[in-house]
Amino acid sequence: MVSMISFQLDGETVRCPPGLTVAGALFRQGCLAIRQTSSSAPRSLFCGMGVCFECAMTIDGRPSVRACVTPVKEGMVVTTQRGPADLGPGS
Amino acid sequence: MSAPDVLVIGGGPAGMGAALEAANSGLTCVLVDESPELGGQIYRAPLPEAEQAMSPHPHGAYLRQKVRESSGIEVRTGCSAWGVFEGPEVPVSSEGSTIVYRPKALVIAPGAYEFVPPFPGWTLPGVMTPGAAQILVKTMGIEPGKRVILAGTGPFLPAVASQLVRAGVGVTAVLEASPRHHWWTLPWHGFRTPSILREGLGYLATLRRARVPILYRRGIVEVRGGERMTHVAHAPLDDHWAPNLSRREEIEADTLCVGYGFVPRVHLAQSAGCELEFRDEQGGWVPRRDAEFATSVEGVYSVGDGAGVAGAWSAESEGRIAGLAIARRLGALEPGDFDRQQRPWRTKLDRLTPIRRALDRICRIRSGLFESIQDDTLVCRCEELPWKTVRSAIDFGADQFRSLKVATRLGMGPCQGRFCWPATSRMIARQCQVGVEQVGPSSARPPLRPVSLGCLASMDEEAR
Repeated sequence: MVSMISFQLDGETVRCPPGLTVAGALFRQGCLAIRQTSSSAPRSLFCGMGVCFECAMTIDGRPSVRACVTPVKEGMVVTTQRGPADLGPGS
Repeated sequence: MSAPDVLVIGGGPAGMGAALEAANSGLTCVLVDESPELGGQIYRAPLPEAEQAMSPHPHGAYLRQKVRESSGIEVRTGCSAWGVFEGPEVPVSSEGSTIVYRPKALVIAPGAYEFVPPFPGWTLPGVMTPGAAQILVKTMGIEPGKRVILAGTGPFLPAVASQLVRAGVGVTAVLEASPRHHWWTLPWHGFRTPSILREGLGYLATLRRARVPILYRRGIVEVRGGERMTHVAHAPLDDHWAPNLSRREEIEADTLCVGYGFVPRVHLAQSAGCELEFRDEQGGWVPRRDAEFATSVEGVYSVGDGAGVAGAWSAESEGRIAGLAIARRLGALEPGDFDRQQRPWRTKLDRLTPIRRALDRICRIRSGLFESIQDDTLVCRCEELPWKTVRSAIDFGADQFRSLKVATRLGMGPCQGRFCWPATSRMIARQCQVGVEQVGPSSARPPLRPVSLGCLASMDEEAR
């Protein structure tokens, strides 16, 4: 029996087995559009090894974290970025 | 500030090879890598908790074990080296903190990433590199899609295709840009490396059993879809890889894995001030190196695919030889012992040369590859720049990385030009009818990775 972990994706609870990257967990859900560009185009996992930054997401409050190289953890809060990253107050 | 004898950046076969030999000779060594586990891309290990992963490559597991057992090597995973300053001094950041290393010798072994030319629809979700699909299925047991097409050139395509097939993923076809008869020459060049030929034939047999067709002299001309890609259009290619659009065909597919060989990651070497040279057959710009893989900068070595794409076996041999050369240089190894210990690795490297050269010739990027690009095709994915904007800037004389960056913002997004420049520089060469080497490499300015201000502030006094 596989023990499952859960994390938050845009406010919804998602359950997945441990040992996945955030991008892997999203693909497992069939959720491919990982990010939206400034012109509202959907983007997804591309290089898968941390070079292209197409899978940038806000993870636990940190903007533009690469979902393809970040292991998913219990209780993680993951938010889709629409347009440029929100760098917080003053940006 | 930390001052080990050797700092190795990159924990793939090249980096692990260098660290092992340096440590065996009694040197202190720090090995840093961005991933959570050592192995690089080829020997990438699943995350420790992963339950659905395929078993990791046995030789990769062996190298990891040896590195772990070595008391002379301090392994730091999950860390990014984001520049090389005079000294050499190398800042390495992990979450929230930075350590600056000042090693007696530096080994740069960052590996390579895939070359993907722009084509209409290449930014749609579902289009990814074969490497990305491989990581999903191999280390996490996750399907990249239900109907997968692989396209591009090189032995990596059938390798990934057969891994997908074995994992039960539906693979529709493999499209190889080069003609089939070029591949028939490989047994002739590879008779001294039968294990490599056997590996390749194994992939082809897996694909044949699964009835996955390999279509030679075929290339992608367009991908269509909405929130996810739904169709791939492909066409026959001529000798220069230019598509014959009158014979265009469309197939349904939800995933396209596209890669035309690899590009060495030279940003760290560039940041160190290493002289570069253009080697088309090795993926483009590479650091100039001597026979022991020392660069033009004193004490800085560069090994593996990041110094010229040649594959994992060459990478490890290069790393081993560089590690031994450093040991000799720092007085930890007698010249006679160096000669004796490097010989088996040198022999291995020499044995690989013929098949490597043959593959380089078969898979070299041809200029027709860029003919399917349209005016509104995005060239720079990060900055969403269409070809028409870039082309008119080129026509106005912005024909180098710097000038094109100033004119259009090309290469100013988070990937720092890593994905757009290899293709754009070739398109400039085509447009201006000059050699790619005349167009020049992209520039590399630290931080080569996004670093938070908190990370910078945590650097010790002395280093700042």
